[in-house]
Amino acid sequence: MKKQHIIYAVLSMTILSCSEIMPIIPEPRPPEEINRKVIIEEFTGVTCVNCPAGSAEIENLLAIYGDNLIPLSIHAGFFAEPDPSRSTQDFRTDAGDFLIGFLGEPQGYPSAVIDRKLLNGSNTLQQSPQGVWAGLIDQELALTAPLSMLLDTEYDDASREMLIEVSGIWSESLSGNINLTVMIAENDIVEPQLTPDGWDFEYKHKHALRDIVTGNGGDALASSPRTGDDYSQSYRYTLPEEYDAAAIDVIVFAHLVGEQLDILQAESTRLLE
Amino acid sequence: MRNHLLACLLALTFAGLAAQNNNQGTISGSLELNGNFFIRDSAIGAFNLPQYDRQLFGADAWMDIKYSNWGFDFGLRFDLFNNSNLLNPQGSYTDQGIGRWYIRKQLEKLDIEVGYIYDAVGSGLLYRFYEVRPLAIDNALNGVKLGYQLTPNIKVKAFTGRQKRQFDLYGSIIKGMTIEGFLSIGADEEAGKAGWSIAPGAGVIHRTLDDNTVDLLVGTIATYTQADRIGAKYNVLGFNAYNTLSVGSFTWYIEGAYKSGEPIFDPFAPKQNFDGSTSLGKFLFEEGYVAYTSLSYAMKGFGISAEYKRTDHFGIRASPFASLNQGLINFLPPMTRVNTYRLTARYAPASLELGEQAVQVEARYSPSKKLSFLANFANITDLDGGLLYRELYGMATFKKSRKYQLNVGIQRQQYNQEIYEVKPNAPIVEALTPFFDFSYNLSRKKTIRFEGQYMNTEQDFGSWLFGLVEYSVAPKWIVTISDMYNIDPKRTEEALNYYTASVTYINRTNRFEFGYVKQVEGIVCSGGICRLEPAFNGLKLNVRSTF
Repeated sequence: MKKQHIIYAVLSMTILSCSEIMPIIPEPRPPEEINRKVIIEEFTGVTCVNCPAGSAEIENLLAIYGDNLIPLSIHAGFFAEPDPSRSTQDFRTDAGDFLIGFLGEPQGYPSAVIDRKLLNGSNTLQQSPQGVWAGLIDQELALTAPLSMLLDTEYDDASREMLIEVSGIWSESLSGNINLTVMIAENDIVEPQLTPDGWDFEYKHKHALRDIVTGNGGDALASSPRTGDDYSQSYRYTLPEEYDAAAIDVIVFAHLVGEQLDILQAESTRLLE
Repeated sequence: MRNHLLACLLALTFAGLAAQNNNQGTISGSLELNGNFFIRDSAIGAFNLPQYDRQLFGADAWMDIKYSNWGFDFGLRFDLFNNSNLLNPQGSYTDQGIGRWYIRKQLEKLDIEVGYIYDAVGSGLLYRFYEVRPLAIDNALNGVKLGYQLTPNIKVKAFTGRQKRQFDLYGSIIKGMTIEGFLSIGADEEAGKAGWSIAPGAGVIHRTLDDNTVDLLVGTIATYTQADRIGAKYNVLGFNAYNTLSVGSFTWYIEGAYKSGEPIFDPFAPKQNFDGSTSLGKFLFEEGYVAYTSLSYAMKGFGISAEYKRTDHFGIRASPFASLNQGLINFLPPMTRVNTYRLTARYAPASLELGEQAVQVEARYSPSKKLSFLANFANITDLDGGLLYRELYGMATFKKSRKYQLNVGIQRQQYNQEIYEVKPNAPIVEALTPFFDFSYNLSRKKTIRFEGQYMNTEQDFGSWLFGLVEYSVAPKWIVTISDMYNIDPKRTEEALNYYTASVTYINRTNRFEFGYVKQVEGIVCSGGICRLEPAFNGLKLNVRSTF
C-alpha cells in the first residue's frame, strides 16, 4: 500500500510539472517607454572567430533599440592580438588593456559588459555568449535614469581638436561619488577579421574603442547629488591623425565609483553629425 | 557570510562532539594545493593573460575535513582560488571561502543529507552532481536529500535544492526522485552456478527557473523576428529508466532519458535579424532525448565491451544562459578511451549535447601472464552522419615479472577540430601515433621508465615527437624529464621544444611535486567534458596530503 502511495505521488508530481502558464513574449520595448540609454562594452578580437556573431547581434539590437543602445567594441585580451600575416593595424589600445583588467577577463568570446552591472546573478560583469545580451539590455532599458544628460560637441578640422560638453540635472538624490567617463570610438574600419567562413579581408569593424578622454576610471562628476542639482563638464581632445573624424563617435556616461561600477545614464553623438 | 557562519558552527560542532565523546569519533581530511608561477613566453602563446602580464603567481587549494560519530557524518571544505586560471583558462579568478559543507545521518532505513550534495542516477544522463577540480566544475546541489530502503532490494531517494555557482547559487530550483532495485535469481555459490541478476532503476528530475531568469529569457526572445520567435518556459521535466542485466559472464546496461521542451541556446543556429541580416546563435525550443547502452563479456584472459550512445538536444542546465562547463545538471558519458600518454591524449572529443551518435568497442586478450593485447575502436558522428571523431587504438604489453614491462602500440585518430574547437574551416586532424612505454626495475627500489611517442599529422601544429625519462626510488622519490618537440611545425616558423622537468617527493600520505612546465595549447578533458587550454610556461607546485 505504501509503495502504491509513492508511485501515485511520483505520477502526480510528474503530471503537475508538465502544466504551467507560459510567459507571454511581448514585442520589443517601444522607444517612447524608454527613459535611459544603455552602454554595451563588447570584448572582441580580430582572431576571434565567433566575435562577428556578437557584432551582428549588436547591430540587430541597434536596429531594435536605436539610439537607446550605445555600443563600444573593445579589442583586448587573447583574441585581440593582430594576425602577423593579415592584420594591417593593431586595434588594441592602452584604454582597452585597462578596461579588460578593470571590468574583468571574459570567460569566452564574444563577451560584453552591460551598464557595468553584475546582472543575472553573475559574479562577473562579463556576459557571454551573445544570446544573453538582449534580455539584460531589455531589463536595463526598463529602469529610470536618475539624471538627464545632454552632449554637445564641436570639432575644428584644421587643428583636429574637439570640444566635448556634457550637462544635465539630477532627478533623483544619490549617495556616494559619481564619475563621468568620456570615450572615443571609430566606425567602419575595413580590416581583416576571422569569421566562420575564414578570413574576411573586407570586414567593417564598428564602434572600435580608440581612447578614453577622461581618466580611465572616469573623472569626478558629483558627490551625493540631490534632486534638482545640475552639472556641467567640458573636455578638449585632439583627434590623432590616423582616425577618420567622420566616423568618430563620442560616448559619455555617468557611473558609480568603488565596489559597484553601475552606469546610471549615457549619451553619444557622431562627431561630425 | 552565511557560509562563514555555517563553517564556524560546523567547526564548533566538530570540536564539541570530539570533546564530548573523548575523541571516539573519527576525523579525516585531505589537502590539495596547486601553485603556478607564470613565465611569459610569447613564442608559444603564453602571454596576453593577466597571470603572465602582471599577476605572475596563482594558486588553487582545497582542504576537506570529515568527522564521523553516532551515525552522523559532518564535512567541511575550504576552497581558495588566487589568480586562478581553472575557471576560465583565458582569465583570472580570485575568491575563497567555504566550498562545501554537509551533514549526513542514518536513521534505520532513512538516510538524511543536507548541505552541498554530490550524487548521480544511472550513468548520470539525467542528473549528476559532481566535482572535477582540473576544470573548476563543482556542480554540487545545495539542498536536502532523503533516501529510504523500501525493501532490502529497493531504495528510493528524493532531493531538492539549488545548484552551486562558485561561492553562490543559481536561482533555479531542482528537485528529483529515483527508485532503484536489485533482483538476483538462480545464483548458487555452493553449486558454482552464476545465475542472473537485474538492477533496474528510474528517475525523474524537475527544474523551475527563477523569475529573473525567465524575464531575461522573455526579454531576449522579444528581440527575435517572428521567424525565430519561440515560447519561454519556467519548468523542464526529465525522466530516465535504466537496467543492468548480468547473465554469467555477460553484462548489459541500457539507459534512456527524455526531457521536455525548453529554450536552449544553439550557437550555430542561423538567426534572422531585424536589419535583414543573418547571424549565428539563437534560442531554440527543443525536446531532448538520449539513449545509451553497453554490453560486456569477460572470461579468463579475454574481455570485450561495446557501447552506443545517441544524443539529441539533451542538455539540462541550471540556467538557459549558462554555457561551456557551467550550470550542467546532467552528464553525458564520453565514448572514447581515456588516453594517458601525452600525444595519444592530445586530441580528445567532448560529449556534444546538441547532437551526436557514438559507438565504441574495446577488447582485451591475455594469452599468458607475460603477454596481453588491447584494441579499441571509437566512432562519433553528428546526427546526419558527418564525422566528428574516429579512433583506432592497439597496444601490446610484454611483462617479465619484477624485471621489466614494455607497452607498444599505435593510435590512428580523425578529429573534427572545426566542431570541437570551433575553428572554422579547420580540416579534420588525421594523426597516426606509434608509442612505447618501457619500465625496467634496476633494483628492488629503483626503477627507470622511458616513454616515446611520435604523432604524424599534416594538420593543426603538425607532427610531434615526445620523449620522457622517469627515475624513481620507491617509495619516496620520482624524477621526470620530458620534451615534446614540434618536429614538423605548421603553425610556427621554427620547431619548438616544450620541456618539462619535475621532482616528486612522497612521505607517507604527503606528496610534493615541483617542476618546470612548458606546455602547448591543447584540449583538456575530464569525462566527456573538455575545453581548450592556452599554452603554459612556468613553474608548478602540487601538494597532496591526506590525514
